[in-house]
Amino acid sequence: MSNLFEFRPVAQSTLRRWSRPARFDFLDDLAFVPIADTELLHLSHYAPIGIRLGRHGPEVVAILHSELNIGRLLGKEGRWLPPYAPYALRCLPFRGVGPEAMPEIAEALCSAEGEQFPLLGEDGQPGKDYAYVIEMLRRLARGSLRLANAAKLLLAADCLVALYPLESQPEAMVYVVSETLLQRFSGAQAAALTTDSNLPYEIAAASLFSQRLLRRGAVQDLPTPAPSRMVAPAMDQGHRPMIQDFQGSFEEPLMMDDSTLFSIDDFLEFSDKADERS
Amino acid sequence: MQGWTELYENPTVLGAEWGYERIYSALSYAHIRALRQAPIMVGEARTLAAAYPLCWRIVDGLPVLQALMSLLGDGKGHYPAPNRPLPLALHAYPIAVPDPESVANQRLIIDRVFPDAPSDIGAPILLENAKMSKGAIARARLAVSVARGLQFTNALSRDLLDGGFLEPWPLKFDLGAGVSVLRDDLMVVAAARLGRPELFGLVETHGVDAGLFLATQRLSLFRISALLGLAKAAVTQAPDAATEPAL
Repeated sequence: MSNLFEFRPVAQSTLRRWSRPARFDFLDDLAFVPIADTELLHLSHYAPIGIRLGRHGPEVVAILHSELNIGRLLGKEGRWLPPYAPYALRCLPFRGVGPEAMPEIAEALCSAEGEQFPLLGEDGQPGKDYAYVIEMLRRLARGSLRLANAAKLLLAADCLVALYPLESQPEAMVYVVSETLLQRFSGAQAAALTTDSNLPYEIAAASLFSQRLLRRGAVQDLPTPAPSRMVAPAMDQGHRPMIQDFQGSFEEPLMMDDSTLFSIDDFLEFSDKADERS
Repeated sequence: MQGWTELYENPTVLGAEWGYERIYSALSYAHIRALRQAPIMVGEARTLAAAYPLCWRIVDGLPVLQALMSLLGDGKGHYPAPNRPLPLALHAYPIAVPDPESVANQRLIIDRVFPDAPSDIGAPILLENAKMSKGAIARARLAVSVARGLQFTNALSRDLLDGGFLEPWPLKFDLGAGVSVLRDDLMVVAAARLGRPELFGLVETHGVDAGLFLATQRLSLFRISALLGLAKAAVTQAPDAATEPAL
């Protein structure tokens, strides 16, 4: 990882003023950022949601690395493009180390050209903008902890599949949710994931929904999906159902007669057989 | 079927005397282009959530799951037509999603409507040899898929309403140029009620798909900002401000 991200406790920093990064084209160095419960569903529109497993347990993250995320996150001059930016990015150059602990700062991320903010006010207390960052970091820490606890259930339920590790961060073990593995659950197992106001399902749904932004082939050992009555026909990039897949399963066009013209029962039976064949 | 009547203007049993007419893609038909919302099934929720807020309307006392496609009522405020994501029922259109009565009577229903703006050369429903064309078969299969999915969708929706898990989702926006929009007929999952113990039984009954769908419905609501951008652009006639769906 780049030395841009050498964090040290703010108390040890000699900086009197700080500024936000002017550019965000270091996302590949960052690769993943922790997220809070309150931003999980919104962020799933812009970044794949994964679960990083570390020594302290799982951590729900937004996947930002361009080897994994096919979404367009940066615009001209390295500006963040999506309408929502995660707390972890908005708080830079600071990061939190716990709900109550004081932040750390990566001094190299401070922009020389950007607006400068005082770390401390005249009263020795955190300056207004720094105080706001501290509050956001605490919110992130609390929300991230709540997500981590819910993610432990998904881990225990064995419904995660691993991503191939990044060359730049081979030690990072990141997982996404597998719908195929989830579908094996009994009714009671499925119901057990409704704990904490359905949060495990919110992580699972955010992960599954955001996998459209995950680069193809990023997932290791993808389980074979079982037929499901709930799964709609696959959509192509233009949101059109890929109807040619099942058009080909008809050996002969259906013959129409002169009376009722079309038997849905026969059609359903024929469709079921076609499904079985496929 | 409750909530589906606005989708079909002239539902007609397919007959040999007119079955050789051509059918076109859904957006070739004026009333489909003007839809503010369209009924959907749970199985397509994840795909549609990237573009549309998913919500319910109560029709004849029953909740009907919908994709909210525009905030405007005059056919404006949609995603641009070529890339507009469509619910499966509209991909099947003008072949109608069969209701139980149509299935029982073995009828194929077609919305026999004039396409005022054909976007393609169309395809016949029946070929000269009286067989259905491949295009018509594909749409009929989609329509049947939706009909199958609706059984689960409607059962889950009813249990959500009866269990008190839905709440009103009032929408009130000032679009500029003196235009405002007010919707007070929509409902969504009540986040504050997801901690109730009854949720366990609901998901135990309906399975993993129910738990996932509750969350998918909630994340879809963030697309209201895209619809708002489209509506404002339509009102102020600023096409550059039009928003593309988040794919």
